[in-house]
Amino acid sequence: MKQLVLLLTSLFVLTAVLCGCTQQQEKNQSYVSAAELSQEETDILKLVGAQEPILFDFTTFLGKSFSIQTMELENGSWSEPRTYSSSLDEDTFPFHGRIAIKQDEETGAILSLAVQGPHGFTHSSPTPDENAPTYSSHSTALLSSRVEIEPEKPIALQVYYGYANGQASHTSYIPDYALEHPEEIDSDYAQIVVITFSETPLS
Amino acid sequence: MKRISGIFLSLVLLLSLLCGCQMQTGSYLQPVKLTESERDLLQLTHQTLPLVMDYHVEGAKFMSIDRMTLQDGQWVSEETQIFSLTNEDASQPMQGRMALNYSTASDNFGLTSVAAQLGDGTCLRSAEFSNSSTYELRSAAANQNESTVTLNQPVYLLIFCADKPGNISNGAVATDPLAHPEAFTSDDVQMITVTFSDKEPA
Repeated sequence: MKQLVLLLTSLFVLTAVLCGCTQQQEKNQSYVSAAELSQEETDILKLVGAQEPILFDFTTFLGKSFSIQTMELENGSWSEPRTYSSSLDEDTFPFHGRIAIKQDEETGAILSLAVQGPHGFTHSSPTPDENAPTYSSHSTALLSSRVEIEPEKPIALQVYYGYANGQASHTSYIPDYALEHPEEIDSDYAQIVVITFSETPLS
Repeated sequence: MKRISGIFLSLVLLLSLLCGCQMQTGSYLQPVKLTESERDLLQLTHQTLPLVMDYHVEGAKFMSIDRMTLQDGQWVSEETQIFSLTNEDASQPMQGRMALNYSTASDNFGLTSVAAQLGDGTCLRSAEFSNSSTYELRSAAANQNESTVTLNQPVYLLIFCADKPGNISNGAVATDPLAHPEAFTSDDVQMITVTFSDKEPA
């Protein structure tokens, strides 16, 4: 009987220690993921907005800054990025941020990019190109899983693919693959949004 | 033990009564108390926080949202309604939640859209409005107070004031702007109102 109690106690202690380790690891993990909204948040967003934005959440324990970049596909490679940057402050760690992107479905143009950062809310609305072509067929691939943040390593959030002619089928690569292999993209237009956390402070 | 149970039951009864006292009754329009996460989400997705209000009106058959402009010191209502709803079952109160998006940007000054969520969860939405303004100084004020609704009487929701650079306006909004049009000194003043009526318009 004593042996059984001892065995059970050991098992309990071991389980508790292991759970503690996992929780601690999860607690200190820095990651980016698609936003998970509560029912109340979904309802209020549906009520106030005709076009629901694409939302991403991030939690970070590291970095001194982060930047969000949009790049277009040009001759099989990603163009020079347009960048939005924000500084991070260790005092605010763990920092929980959220990104909202509104995009014109027909042209792929970013209508607004908003960030809930450590210094409040920042909205940027790029001036739309009135001559931008429209795409009769289009698709958007989004970051689907939780991705761990590593300093200086870009994380692809979403890719917009536009096709001038309605094709029967086409391939929409997932964002991280599209970031690494732009030469494989066969759409007429593509735009990618990435986020990079950095140990370098903003100058 | 019996005494403790008695005290506990009394406390529960007292709390229930107190909660009951705070429950809203009658016909009213009140700003929604957003949770922190809802407020953060709206601040993230909207450059200007929308006005979100709950309404509950007894005996109403029709709700309309209208625009009034200040002309010669008087409020003048535009003939065309911005948004309207009909209560299909007038024996039931007209209730739900409304959201008004607005902007003070020069290329989109004023009310930009209206949506209403009905009691059954259905969501109705206006088209997007686009109103550019040539005035250089623009401001907006939203009704953040709970209002008692009287049938066929408008209730103010939003006010938009615009001025040329030379005009000095204090930007203050009277507690009851409908009753005090003289309080406004801006070059251009518009008000958005909601009216609950006991009859549908002819």
